[in-house]
Amino acid sequence: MHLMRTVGRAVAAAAFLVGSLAPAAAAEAYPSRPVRLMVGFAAGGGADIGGRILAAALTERWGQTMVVENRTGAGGMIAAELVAHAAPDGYTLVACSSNHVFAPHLYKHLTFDPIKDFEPISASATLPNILVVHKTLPYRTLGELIADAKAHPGKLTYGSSGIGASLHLTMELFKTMAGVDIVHVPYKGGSASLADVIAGHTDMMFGNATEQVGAVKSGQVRALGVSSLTRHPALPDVPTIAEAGVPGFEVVTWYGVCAPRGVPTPILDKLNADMVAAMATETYRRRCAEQGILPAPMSRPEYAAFIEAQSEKWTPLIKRLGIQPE
Amino acid sequence: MIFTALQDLWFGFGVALEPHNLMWCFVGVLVGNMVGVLPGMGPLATISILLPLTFGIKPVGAILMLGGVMYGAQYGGAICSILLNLPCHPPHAVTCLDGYPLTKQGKGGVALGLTVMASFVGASWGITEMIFLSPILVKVAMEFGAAEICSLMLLGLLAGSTLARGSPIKGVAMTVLGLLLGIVGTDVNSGVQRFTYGAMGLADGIELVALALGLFGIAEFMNSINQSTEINTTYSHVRLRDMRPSKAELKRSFFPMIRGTLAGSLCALIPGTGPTIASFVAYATEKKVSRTPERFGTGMIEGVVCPEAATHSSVQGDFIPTMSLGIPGDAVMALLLGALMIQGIVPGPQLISEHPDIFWGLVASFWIGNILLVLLNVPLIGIWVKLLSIPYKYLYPSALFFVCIGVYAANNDMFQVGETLIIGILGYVLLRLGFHPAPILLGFVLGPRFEENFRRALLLARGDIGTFVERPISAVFVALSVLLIAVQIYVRLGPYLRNGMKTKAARIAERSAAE
Repeated sequence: MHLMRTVGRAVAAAAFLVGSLAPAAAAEAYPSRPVRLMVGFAAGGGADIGGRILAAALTERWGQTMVVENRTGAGGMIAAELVAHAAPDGYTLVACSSNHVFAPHLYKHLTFDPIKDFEPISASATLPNILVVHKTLPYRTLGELIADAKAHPGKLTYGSSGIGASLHLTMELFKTMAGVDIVHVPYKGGSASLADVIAGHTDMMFGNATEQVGAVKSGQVRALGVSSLTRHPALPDVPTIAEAGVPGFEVVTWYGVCAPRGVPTPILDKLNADMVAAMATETYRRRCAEQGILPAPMSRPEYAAFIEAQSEKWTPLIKRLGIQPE
Repeated sequence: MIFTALQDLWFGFGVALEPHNLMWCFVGVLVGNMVGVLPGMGPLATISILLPLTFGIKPVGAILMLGGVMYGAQYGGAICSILLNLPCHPPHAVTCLDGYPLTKQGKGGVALGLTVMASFVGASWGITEMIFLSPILVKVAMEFGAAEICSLMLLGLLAGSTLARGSPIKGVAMTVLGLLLGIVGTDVNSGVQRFTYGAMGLADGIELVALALGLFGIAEFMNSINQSTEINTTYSHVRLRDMRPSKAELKRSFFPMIRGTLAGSLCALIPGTGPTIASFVAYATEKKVSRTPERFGTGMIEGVVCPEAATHSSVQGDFIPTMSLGIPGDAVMALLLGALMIQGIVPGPQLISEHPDIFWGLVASFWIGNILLVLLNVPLIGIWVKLLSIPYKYLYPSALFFVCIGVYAANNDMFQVGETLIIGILGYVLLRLGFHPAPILLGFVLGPRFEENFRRALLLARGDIGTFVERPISAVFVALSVLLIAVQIYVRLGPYLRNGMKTKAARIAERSAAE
């Protein structure tokens, strides 16, 4: 009897130990098959390239492939919806970016919450937006542009990649902080907008650094400022907007990885550790530098706080602009 | 200038003919051709799938392969349109109109042979244009602002509503239906979602591939279920000799080929117009210019050759703004640019000077690729025509199956497969009621562009509607549109106006005689 009770306790203790080790063991075995990274934008675009660079680095680290799948539509929300409803085993992830912060204001019939239904893992890269003007315009510095815009409100026009997109909101923030009035001309995507700025049909635009660097370097447009707090390595002569005339102005476009809510914490932590390590490799840094984006490793609480801060920053502006969810 | 261009071209041929690059070019056109035959899945999906492969290849080989997929897909697209009345991709929808009747007459092989020829001619012109005329063309394209594009779209809508056979008012009705379908989605200028009823799959509008395949493929298939018109299978044992078109047919198709090619290259220039619009414009022009317009739709060679030449020339010409300015004209070009950027190459005007091997190698590979495609396709025509000897009851369901796979593969989206099927049912209903669906596609493609550019032009002009006639190019298009309407009114009402008095008197006489 005494023996039975001892054996019983020993078995129970062993089971308890094994049980508590299981999630950790699962985390050790993760990933045991290919992991899918859903990208909500077309292949070849900035978000897609950022995702592919990260996927290549993680594949090398894991020995298991990280597959990038494109599911375009609804500003990246179709991919996000897929991942939000996916099995929370850590094998389906989403490449998130600022559209997760903007989405609740643009789409009313979402079947998920773009922030609460996801677990943030880490950011993967950041890049600034660049303010470019048509090359025949006389402004050489940001100060001249602001002065002229203040003197003639409504005279200048700017292009954007669509209502509620980050390029639109960046310019609106600029307008608010610099106190100028520039007319908004929306386009379907950044390239269409850039084409019209080059041709001179619109005066200026804020553009994605990846898309703009080529055009700036070849002289088709003139860059007056970058939206981050540090100068862009590919364009060292272009001042930041904060130092050139609008102190405190900061906008970064960011890419990151999120998992659906419910993925076990050990797996999330392992993913974060692997991502941070992959981002420290020489290959990743070199590839990012070629694209003009900066690696941005973060811990999970840092990333969550970052997303929170972005949401707080942009929500008042979006509401003030009257962008309604439809 | 021409001499330097020829020198650079010679250098390009040297690059393209290197065994390594030649192999990738061949892989690209082969894959492209195969993918082109599969309905729905187009170059966009294929290039997305092949993109990771390019990480490990040198940039020249990578871009040669991806470019090959792009124009190779156009060669395959005509096959199903002509033989099965099932357009594989939107630009080939117009080819169905005259291609399928030709097949029913037993001339499917001939049509295919002529198509390959027209494709080669169109592509060659597009390439030549790209080499020698790029700087001028780019400058002209820059002049096209929102107002010009809007007026051009208006002209296109007016001219194209004569696209369908039969009653003109039914043609107009279908165009308007196309316009209405084009409204579905997110509006560019206000961000409002229109007619999406909360479905996220519709947030970006109805998919063009779904519309083209549904209307032209599924609807026609459903329409032909109980009609079982036998295809003339006496020609199914096609010998190589039979596929060669007769001298008369060659002569008939020469000028349409030239006209189609010109239409295609014009459309390649103008931003936002792609191969689909080019094929429609070419077909409509051909119909207007022809001496027997009423026979279009019953199997006119011109109606097959012209749109195909236009499609190919437009696809080759689409590379111009991408390669010379670094600005992609559409999603596929954006993908190609992305592939270049992943390799660390920044496209733009400096691409020609910094990476001449890539630019000139690519241009030379276009020609090599097109020759390879002709060599691939001509012997295969006999095999494709043999497809027709499969009984209808196996052939069409299999085709339907491939349509569903193709649409799903295009975007990995089951919603779009559902869209295709529902649009197919709608198209079937329209066919039974005597409406032909071709103008729907036209309205769907041109309408949203018209609206987007109309509002943008007014935005840029601060509400001044005179901007459409103040800007010279736009004024020309507006004048042409007005002329078009005026001519139609004159042709229709002229007799009544001239004989107005007599008609009225005749009516009074009739009435008194009846009493």
